[in-house]
Amino acid sequence: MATKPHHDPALDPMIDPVTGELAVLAPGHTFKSVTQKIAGVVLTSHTPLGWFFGLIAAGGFVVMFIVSVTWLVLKGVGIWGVTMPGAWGFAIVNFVWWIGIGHAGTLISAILLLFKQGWRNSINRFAEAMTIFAVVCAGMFPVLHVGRPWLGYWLLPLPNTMNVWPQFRSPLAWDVFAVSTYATISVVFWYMGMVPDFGTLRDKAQHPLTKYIYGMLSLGWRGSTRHWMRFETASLLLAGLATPLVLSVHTVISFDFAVAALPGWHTTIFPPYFVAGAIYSGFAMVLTLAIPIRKFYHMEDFVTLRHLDNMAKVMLGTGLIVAYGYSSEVFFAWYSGSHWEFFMMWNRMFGPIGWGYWLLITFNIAIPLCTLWWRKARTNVTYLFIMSLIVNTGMWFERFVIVVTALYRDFLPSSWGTYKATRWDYMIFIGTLGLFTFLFLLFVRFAPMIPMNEIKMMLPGSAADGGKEGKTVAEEIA
Amino acid sequence: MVESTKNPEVVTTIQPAKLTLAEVQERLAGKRGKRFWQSLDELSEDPGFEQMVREEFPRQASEWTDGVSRRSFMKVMGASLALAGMTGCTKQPDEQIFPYVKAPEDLILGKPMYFATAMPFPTGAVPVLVKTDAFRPIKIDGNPEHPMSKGKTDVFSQASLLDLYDPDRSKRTVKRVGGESADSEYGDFAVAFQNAVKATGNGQGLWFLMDFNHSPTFAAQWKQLAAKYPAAKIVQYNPVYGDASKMPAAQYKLENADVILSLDADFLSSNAFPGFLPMAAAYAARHRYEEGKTMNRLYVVETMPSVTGFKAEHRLALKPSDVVAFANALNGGGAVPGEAQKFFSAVVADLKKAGAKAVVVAGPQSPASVQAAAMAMNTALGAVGSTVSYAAPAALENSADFKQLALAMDGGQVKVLAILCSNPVYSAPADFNFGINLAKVPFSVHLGQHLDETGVTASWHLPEAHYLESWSDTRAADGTISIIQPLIDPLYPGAVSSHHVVQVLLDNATATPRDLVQQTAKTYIAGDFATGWRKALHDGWVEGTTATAPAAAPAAPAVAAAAVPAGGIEINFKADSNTFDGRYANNGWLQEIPKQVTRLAWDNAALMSMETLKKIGAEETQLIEVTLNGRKLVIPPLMVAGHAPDSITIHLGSGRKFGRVAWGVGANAYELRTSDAPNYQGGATAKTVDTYYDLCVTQVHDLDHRGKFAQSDLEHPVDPNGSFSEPGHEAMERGIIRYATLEEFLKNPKFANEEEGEPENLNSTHTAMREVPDKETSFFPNAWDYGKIDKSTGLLQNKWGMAIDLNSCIGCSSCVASCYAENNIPVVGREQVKIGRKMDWIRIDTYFEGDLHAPKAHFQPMLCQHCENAGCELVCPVGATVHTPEGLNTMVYNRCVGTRYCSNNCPYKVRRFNFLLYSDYETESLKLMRNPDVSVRSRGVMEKCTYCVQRIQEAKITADKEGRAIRDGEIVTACQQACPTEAIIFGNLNDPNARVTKRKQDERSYAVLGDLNYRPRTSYVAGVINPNNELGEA
Repeated sequence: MATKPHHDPALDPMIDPVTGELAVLAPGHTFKSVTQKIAGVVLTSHTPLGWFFGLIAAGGFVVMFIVSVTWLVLKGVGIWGVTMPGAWGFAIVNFVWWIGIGHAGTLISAILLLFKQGWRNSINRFAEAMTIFAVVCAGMFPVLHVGRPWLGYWLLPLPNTMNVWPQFRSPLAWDVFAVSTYATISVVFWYMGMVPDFGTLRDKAQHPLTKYIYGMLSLGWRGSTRHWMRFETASLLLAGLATPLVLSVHTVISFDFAVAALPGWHTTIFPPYFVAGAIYSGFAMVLTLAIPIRKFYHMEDFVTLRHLDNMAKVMLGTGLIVAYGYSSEVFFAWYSGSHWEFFMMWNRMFGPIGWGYWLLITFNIAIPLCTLWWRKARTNVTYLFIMSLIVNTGMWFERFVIVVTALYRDFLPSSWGTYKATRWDYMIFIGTLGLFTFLFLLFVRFAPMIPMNEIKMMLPGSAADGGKEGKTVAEEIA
Repeated sequence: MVESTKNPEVVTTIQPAKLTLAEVQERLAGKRGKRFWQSLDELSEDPGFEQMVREEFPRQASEWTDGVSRRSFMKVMGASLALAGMTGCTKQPDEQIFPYVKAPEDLILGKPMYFATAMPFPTGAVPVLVKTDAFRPIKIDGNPEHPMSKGKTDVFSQASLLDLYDPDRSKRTVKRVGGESADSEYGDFAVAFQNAVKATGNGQGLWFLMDFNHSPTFAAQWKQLAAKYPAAKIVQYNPVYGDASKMPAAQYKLENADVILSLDADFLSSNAFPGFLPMAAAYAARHRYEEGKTMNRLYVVETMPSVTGFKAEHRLALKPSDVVAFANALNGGGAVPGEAQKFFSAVVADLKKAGAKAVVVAGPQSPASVQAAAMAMNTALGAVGSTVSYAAPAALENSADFKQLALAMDGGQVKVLAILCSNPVYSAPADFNFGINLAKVPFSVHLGQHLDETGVTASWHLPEAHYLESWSDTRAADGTISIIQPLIDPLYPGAVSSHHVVQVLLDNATATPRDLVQQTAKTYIAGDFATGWRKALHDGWVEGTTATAPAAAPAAPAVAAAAVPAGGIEINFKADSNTFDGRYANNGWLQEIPKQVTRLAWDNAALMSMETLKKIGAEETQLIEVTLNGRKLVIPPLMVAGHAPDSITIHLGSGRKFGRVAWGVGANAYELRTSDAPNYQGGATAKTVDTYYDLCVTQVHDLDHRGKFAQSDLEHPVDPNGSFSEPGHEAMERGIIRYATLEEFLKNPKFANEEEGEPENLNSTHTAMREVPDKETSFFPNAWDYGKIDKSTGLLQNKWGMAIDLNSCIGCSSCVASCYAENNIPVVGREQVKIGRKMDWIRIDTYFEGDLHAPKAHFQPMLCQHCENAGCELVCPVGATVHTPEGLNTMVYNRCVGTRYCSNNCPYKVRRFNFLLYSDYETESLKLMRNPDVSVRSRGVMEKCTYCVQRIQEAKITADKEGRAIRDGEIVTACQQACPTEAIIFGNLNDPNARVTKRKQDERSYAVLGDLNYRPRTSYVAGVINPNNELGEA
C-alpha cells in the first residue's frame, strides 16, 4: 500500500507522515475524546432530528412490509409474480442478495482480524450490525416464499413420532444449516465485541435506567486484564469460527442453483463466484452505510478516506473475480458444446429479458471496474457513494438474471413463459430495505457504532502503542 | 370482449337486491359449522336476504375483472347459491349423518358402480359409461361395449360431467308477466301451456324450436302431437349446422380409405363432426406404420388451421370462397384458384389412383355445393359403399325451417312458441332479430339448463334436467339406439325434459318419460321386452338398431355453385373446439383447456394470418373492429400460422351474457352472422380500435408481445429455411419432436435415435441432443433396478410405464378433459391462466415447423414422465416427492411445504403449483362431483400427474384378492381411456407381452430430453408421414 501521496503530506493532517499513507485515525485523539465522540451519540439527550425523520420514514416501509407479509400469508404466494415455469422470483433473488450483503461484515470482523488489518477496527462494528440485519431480512424470504409458510419448520431436523426427516440431499436443507449457523455466529460475535463498550456506556451513563440497561448488557465487564485477555482470545476463536462461514454460506447458497440440472444454474463456477459476488456487494453496502453515517455523525476522524480507499480496493479485487466468473460462464457455454448451455447464454444476453444481463454487466463490471483503479476515484466520497449504490443494484440484478433467465426458457419450448413481478413483490422487497434501515437506525442510536475499545488500542499510550499498528492486547501480553 | 372491461350489466329484469353479498358475507363472517346453519335460518327471515338469493346475477359480478378477488367472489357465490337452494325449495334440516339402516342393493360405500347411458349431442349421441360413487356420477367415459365408440370419448362428453354440477344451472320455473318475473311451479306452467295451445285450435301458430334431437321417443311423441294439432310446426335447428334438413347423412369408413381428401372437414377435432369417434380411430389405425400395411394419406383444404389440417400430409390454406371453388372444380365446374392448381392436380391424380379406396370428406356445416361436390366425387371414384355411405336424412312430421319460423314471428303469426334445449336469442342469425320478435310472441316457453339469454326473455322458463338426471333414448351417429337412464335424481327439483313439455299437450299428459321410453322401446327392442330392456340398459345400446348402408346411394343433389362474394375480407364462422355453439361456455374445464391449434384458453379471437394482421395494421394485443354488412364486432386479433389469407375465422360460442364462467368471455360471433351466409361471408372490413387486450395463449408463444415476437421472427428468420418462431425451431433442434417421411423411415428405420446430419447454422453446432447416457456409466447403476421379486407375492415387481404414439395423437384434448374430471383439477380462471398458472396435469404441446404461411404442426401430449432418475425428488427439502418401488414418481401433498424447487428442476415443466387457493371448497354442487379417490389439493401445494395412481391401487387390490398378477390392460389411465386413437398406452414394463412394452421396443421409440439422463418412464414413438412425392415433403 505504499502508494505515493499525490499531494504534500505536510499540509494534510490525514496523511501519515511516516508511511505517507492515508491515516486510519485522525491525529490528536485521546481516550477521552474517543469516548466522548462515540458514546456521545448513544448517551446524548439531544437526539438529532434527522434520526427521527429517518426512523419514521423507515418505519413507514416496515409497516408496508408487515401489511404485504400479512396479505401474503392470507392469500398465498400467488399474489407474487411467480408462476410456471418461473417458480422462483423476487423472494429468492432478495434472499441471495441480502445474504450476500451480510458477507462483508463477517469478512471485516473475522478474516481481516486474523490478517491483522488494523484499519478494520473502526468499521467492523457497524459492518457486523449490517450483517445481522441483512441476515434478518434474508432469513425471512425462504420462509415467506414457500407455499405453506406455517409448515416451514419441516425443513428442520426435528425428531418426531412419524420418523419423517428432511431430505438431506436437497440443497434447501443445507441452506437451513448454513444460514442458521451463520446467523448464530454473527450475533454472538457482534454482541461479544460490544461488551467492553457497553461497560463504557454503563460507566458514562447519567440516567439510572440507562445505567441499568447497559449494565445488564455489559455482563459485568470490569475491564480487568483478565477480562481483556479472555475477550481477545474469544475474539480470535470466534473469528476462526466465522472465517470458514464467509466462504461456506454463500457456497451452500450457490448449491441451490448449482445442484439443479437447469442450464444457467448447473455450473461448477458458482461457489467461488457467489462468494466473491457476496463480498463485492457486501462492501458496496458497507460503503453505502458508512458514507452517510460518517457525514451525519461527523465520524470522519474514525472512518477516514483510508477506510474508504481500502474498501474500494477490496471491491476492485472481488469485482474482478466476479468478472472472471461471468466471462468463464460465457466461455464454457460456447466451449462445452452443449446446446442447452449455448442457448441459455444466448437467451440470457439477447432474449426478452436480455436487458437485465447488460444492466448487470454495466453496473457490476463496466462502471466500477473501469474506475476503481484510480486512487482519485477511490478517495472521492461522493463518487464512492454513487458507485456503491450502482454495485448494489448490479448485484441484485445478477441474482435476478441467474434466477429468472435460467427458468423462464428452459428445456421444452412449449413451457416457455415470462416473469413479471407484481406490486406485492416490490412492496416486500422495498419493505425489507425499510426494515434494514429501521434496525440500523436503532442500532446507531442505542449501541456504539464504532468499537471504542478497538479505536483506543490504536491511540498513543494504549497497551498496543509502541508495537505495530493494530497489535492487540492479547498479543502484547503473549 | 369489451364487456369484460366494463361492469357487466344485469340481464334479468329482477330488481336489484337490497342486500349485497358483501353484507351477507359480513353477517356470516366468523360463523361456522352448526352455528352457520342456524344463523342462516335467522338470516333467511330477512326479506332483503330472500330477495338477494333469488337474484340470479348478484351485483358483485363486477369483481370478475380482478383475478384474485374473482375467486373470493366465486366462493361467496357458492355460499349464496347453497342458501338459495335452501330458501327457494325445501327447508333443509340440520345435517346429521346416518349409516344406511337398510342399504340399497349393490351399494358398497367406497366401491364405484358403472352405468351405461348416452350423451345426446346434435351430431348423434355419445354412448357413455358413467362411474358413480354412492349414486353420484363422478366420471364419464366411453362405453367400451358400444359398436361405434368402442369406449372412446371426446372433450365434450368428458366435460359434460361438470355441466351436471354447474352451480349456475337453472333451479326454478320462472314466469314472466309484463317484465316482472316470479318463481312458479311446473304445474302452473302445464295448465297455462295447455290453455294457450288449446286456444290455437288445430295448432295454428303453435311452433316448437329445438336443437337436433335423435330420440325415437320424442319422434313418437311429436307424431301424436302432429296428429292432434295438425297445424303445429317444429323447427330443428342447430346454430353450427343450420336446419336439420340440411344436415348431411354421410357415414365414412376411413378404415377402408387409402387416400382422404377433406374439404374443410375437421373430422379429427371432436364430436362436432358426426361420427368423429369411429373416424378418428380408423384414421389413426390406418396412419400407424406397420409392416405390410398401406399407410393412409390425408389431404386437407381448409381456411382455419385445424388439428385435421395439421395431421394431414398435405394441407392447403384457402379462403372460404376458394374452398368452395376448389370443391366445385372437383365436381368439374370452374377452375381452382391459381396457386392451388398444383395441389389440385396432385390430389385428383392421387384420388383417382386409389379409386374406391379414396374418399372425399365434406364438413357438415360446409355449403351445399361443397357437400354435393364431395358426394359427386365419391360416386365417381366408386367410393360409395366402400369408404362412405349416404342415407337420406329423416325428417319429423310438420318440419319447418328456422327461417319460416322467423318470418312467422316477425309477422306476428306465432301464438305459442316452445324453445326446447336451445338458446336462439343468443345464437339465432343476426338478421332474424330473434330476441325482439320473441317478446312479441304471446306465449313462449324456454326449456334450458340455464336461465340464459333466451330464458330471461321467454314468458316461461323451465329448468331442464341434465341427461344424467332424465329418461330418454337417442341414436348415435351410426344410428344405434341407446337408452338414456338417469343416474341421479334431479339436483334441483322441478327439472324436466323435453318429453315432459310435449307430453303435457297429449292425451296422457302425466305419463313419465320412463313410461314413454319403454313404450317406444317396444318398437325397437326385439324379443322378450323385459329381458331386452334390461339388456339394453345394461349394455347401453340396443342390438340391431345400427343403421345399415342403403343399397344404392341417393343421387347427388344438383346444387348451383354458390356465387363468390366480392372482395374484402371473408369472415369464416366455425364451431369452437371447446365451447361448441356456446352451450359449454359456462363449463370451466372447457374454457380453461386450451383450444386446439391456437392454444388459446378462455376468450375467442379473430384468427388470421400474419399478412392479414399486417394489412389491418393491428398488433395482437390491440382490439379490432370487424364490420360485416353494417354489423360490428369488437374482438382481439390473433395470428395463426397457416391461416388462409384475406380471411378471418371467428369461432362461435363466446360472448355470452350469463353465468359466472361464461360472462364476458370472448366476443359473440353470432352478432355478425346472418341466415343467408352462415358459413362464411365476404366483404368485411376491419380496423383497429384504440383498446388493448391480452389474450391468454397458453403454449409455445405465451410471451409478452407475442405479435411483435413472431413478427420479428418472420423478418429475421432464425433458420435460413424460414422456421417459424424460436420455440418451434428449438423443439426441432432439441429432438423433442422427431418424425420422418415413410421413404426416409424405410431408408433408415432408426432415424429417431440417431443424430441428424451436419448442422448448418450456428445454433446447432452443438450436438448430442439425442444421445441417451448409458446406464452403466452412472455412479449408481443399480439405482434403476426394477427387476426384483416382490417378497409378499413372490411375483416379479411391477414397473409402470407409458408409451405415446405421436403418429396417432390428433391433438383433440380429450385426454386433458378426462384428466380434469378424474383428478379433481381446479379451474383457475383467465387471469391466472394468462400468467401461466393453469393446473392441467396433461397438456397438448403444439409445435409449428417450417414456413409461417404453410407450417406443419406437431402435437405432443406432455405429462409427468415419471423419471427413474428424477430431478424433482433430489431437490425437495422435505421429501414430499418420492419414488415408489414400482417406479412411480409420487407427490405427498400432506408433506409438501411448497418450495417449488421440484418444478424448477423438472425439465418437462409438468408440475403444477397451487399458488392460491384454487380448489373450490365452498360450492356445494361441485363437492358432489369430486372423485373420492383423489385428494383435493389446497393452497401452497405442488401437484402433478400420478399415472392415475388411484386406478393402479384399485387394480392391485383386486389382483391381490384374486391372488394373481395384474393383467395387461387392466389399468387404464384416465388420459388413455379417453383417447379416441389409442395414442396413449400404459402398462407394466416388466411384462414382456404388455402392449406398452412392445410399443417401447419399437425402433422409433424415443425419450424426450433423454440426454439429460433423467430416464423418463414415458416414451414417445416418432411419427411417420406418408407424403405425396409430387407435392414434395409438406
